[in-house]
Amino acid sequence: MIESLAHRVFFVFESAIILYCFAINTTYFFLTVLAYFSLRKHHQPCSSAERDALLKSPLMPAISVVVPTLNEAASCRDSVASMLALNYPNYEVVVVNDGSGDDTLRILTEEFHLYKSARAASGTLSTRPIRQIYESADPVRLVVVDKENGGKADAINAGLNVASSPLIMVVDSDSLIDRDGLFTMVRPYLEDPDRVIAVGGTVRVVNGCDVAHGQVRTIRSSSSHLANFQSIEYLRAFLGGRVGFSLMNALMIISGAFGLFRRDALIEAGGFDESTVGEDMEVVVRLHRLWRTKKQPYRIAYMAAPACWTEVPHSLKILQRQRKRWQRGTAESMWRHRAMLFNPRFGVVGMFSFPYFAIFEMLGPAIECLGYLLTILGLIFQMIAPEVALLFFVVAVGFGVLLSTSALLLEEFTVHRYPSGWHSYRMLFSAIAENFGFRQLMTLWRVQGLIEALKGKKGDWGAMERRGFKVVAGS
Amino acid sequence: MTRRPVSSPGSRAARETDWECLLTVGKAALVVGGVFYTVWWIHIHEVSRRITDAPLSLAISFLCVQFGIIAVQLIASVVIKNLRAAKVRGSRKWRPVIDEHLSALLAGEDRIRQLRRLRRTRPEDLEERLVETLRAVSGEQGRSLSHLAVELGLVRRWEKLAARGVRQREQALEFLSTLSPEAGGQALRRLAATPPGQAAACRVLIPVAEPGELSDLFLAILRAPPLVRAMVARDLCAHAESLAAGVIPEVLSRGEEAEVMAALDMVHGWNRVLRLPAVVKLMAHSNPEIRSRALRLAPLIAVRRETAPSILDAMGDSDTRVQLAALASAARMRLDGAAKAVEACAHSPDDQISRMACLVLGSLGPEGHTVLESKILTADRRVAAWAAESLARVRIGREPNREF
Repeated sequence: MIESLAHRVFFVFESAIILYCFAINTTYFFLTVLAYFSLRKHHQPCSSAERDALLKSPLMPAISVVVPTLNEAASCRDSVASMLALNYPNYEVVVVNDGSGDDTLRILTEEFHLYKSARAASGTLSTRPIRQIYESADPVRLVVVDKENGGKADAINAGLNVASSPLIMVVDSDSLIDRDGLFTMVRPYLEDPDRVIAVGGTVRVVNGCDVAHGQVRTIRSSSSHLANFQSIEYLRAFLGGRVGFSLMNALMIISGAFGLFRRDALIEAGGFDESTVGEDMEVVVRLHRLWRTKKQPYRIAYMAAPACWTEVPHSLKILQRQRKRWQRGTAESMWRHRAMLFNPRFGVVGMFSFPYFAIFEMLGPAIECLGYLLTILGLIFQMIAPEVALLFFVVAVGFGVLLSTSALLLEEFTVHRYPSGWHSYRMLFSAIAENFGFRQLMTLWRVQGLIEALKGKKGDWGAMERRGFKVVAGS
Repeated sequence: MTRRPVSSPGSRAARETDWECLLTVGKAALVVGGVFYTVWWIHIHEVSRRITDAPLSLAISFLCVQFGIIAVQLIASVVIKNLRAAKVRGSRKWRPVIDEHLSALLAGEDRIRQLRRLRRTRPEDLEERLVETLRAVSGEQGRSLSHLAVELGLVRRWEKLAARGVRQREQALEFLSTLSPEAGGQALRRLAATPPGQAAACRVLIPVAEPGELSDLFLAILRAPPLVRAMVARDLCAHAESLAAGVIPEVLSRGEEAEVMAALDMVHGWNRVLRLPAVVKLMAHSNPEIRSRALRLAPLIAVRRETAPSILDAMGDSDTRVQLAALASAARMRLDGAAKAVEACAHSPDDQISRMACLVLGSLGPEGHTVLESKILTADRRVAAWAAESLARVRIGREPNREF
């Protein structure tokens, strides 16, 4: 009797998990196919003539590039110099020093000849007190805001208050931006300024690439498999998922490393939320919520072409910390806006992308772990035949391989920035190999992140140890 | 070009984009549906005949399709690369043949039949060689080749291509621009009326347009999304004077707000002094966005005496944007007698206006500097700080105009 009941319960759980796997993989696959069509149709780069015309145009809207920074003394000189060398006719760089305990401010002052400015913060967002605003005496538009430590979101909000442009680009201080990044990102806004309130961009992995003068010169795969696995993950997320979601105007996250926002929209929404570690996701969900509640037409766009390059963790320990933090951020954002879940008032966001993130991204790792646990238990108690378990495992891994190779080929057919030959094959190997161990490890860490979120662990800046970019001669 | 009622370019583009998105979602759903239908088909017709357990059979069918798709993707990647290489090899072989036919045609021989055949078999090579030849010839020969392009249906094809992707658009417009006006002009004009080829077509037409056509193009550009205006702003700048003498005053007096703002932005972008008295009236417009734009143009409209009172009045405006625009213009024009009005702005409760006023005083010469010196000792510490900053800037020769 008890044995029969146990079998039934096991059967129900196992069926539910198989159905879940089917649903998640179908959704991923749908988004990848959608991304393929969308990239071909909507994400073509500017022609060279259009690019030249826009770069020389006096009608390009002003952009403030807000760069929050904390204890970046080693790299701040190069990263700010690289931000000041972007191809755009009308922009300023606002570096926000979030109470660094190192020499960040001194180095910036010496390098860019900063003087104390009486510039006023025109924004209304509440932040930790600003100690002093500096401007550069050089012929560059650089503003440095020195404030008390309040976290990354607080630093961005302070930058928003001080920024003078109608458009804000939020950029991580340790990232590199394609030189044409600004004008490509501003394009959706210029096409539809009334509706577009934010534009997300692609973040790609710089590990292994050659860097000179703050720009990625040659794109290569990394010699580290761990970095390549993360490259594939980034491709899958940015070229697959986000392109697909943006087509339906249901993009739920704009990476904190690279996003363009309309300043008035951000200020109206209350700026970035310092009480969550997933401030980049939370603010986008909040923008959706606000604009859907107001019933005003809006669009949160996404551009696949310009890229921001970031260094991914080299060690498992740092990667674990990062993934746990990301998972906590997702869980916090989902919980805060849970009223949107399956709420038809919020349209495609409430009925598709929010449930997708809540069920597949937030709870997904826990369900996947449960699936592994049940399979092991089923094998131990002989409720499931080993060959059946193996088959379902192969199907699940096969789908992972399919999605990873699709993401890689999506890159090859559309954006096409990886060189051919040896690097393509190495990435192809990574696309297959990451499904054996790496993916499962990520799942485990994400479950840990979820548990931390449930325990209410507080956020931090999420600083990571960096090895620096592979700088080539001439830089 | 006929004038049509103005509808928001944003909303029009949005509607088109929504339909395109729906179509793309539909296509993706069809592909996913097709994949699952294949899985079902293999399950029913192949696997279930050998394996009776339905879930197991489905799983195996699923696995087969997965590996099939992965294999197809990898093969497609290799095939596409090889096809591209083969195309390059084919072009190397056929281009001299096409050149020979085109030269013979220009020499008076009848090669239409051969060229028609090449149009079917090597369309891209024929187009490229034809355009190359068109660039090298002029006069009667140019007209003859343009006529050939029409006869071979290339103009129609290029017009269609120009409404597609960026690369096709760039190439199609480049091709159309090489044709004689009678052969390619109509197609370019049609493209200049609507996105997505609008900006590129306008850029081809603007340098050669007659004054009447230029006015029509300008009106179409004002109604287009800001992206189009940004792209053509510099091309139109060469015709700024003729536009300022004709169509711009007409637009400004017609009062269609979206068009007026677009026209004012365009003139501001040109940064050229033009005689536009119609702007003065707009400095008192009921819409503050128009008022501020008109005021921002004050230093450029060559009617200084008439603009000065409007600028001084605008410093007391209730809208911050208007006040800031007035202050900026006062600084750029170094307006005589403005120090008193600017000084009043320095005590505004709005930090932005107050600081801007202090910076403007720095650009008003000795009269402004005297006021600033008096402000350093004022009880209002924020005004004192800004006054000190403004004077420091004057001393280091850092013009405050960059702020404006």
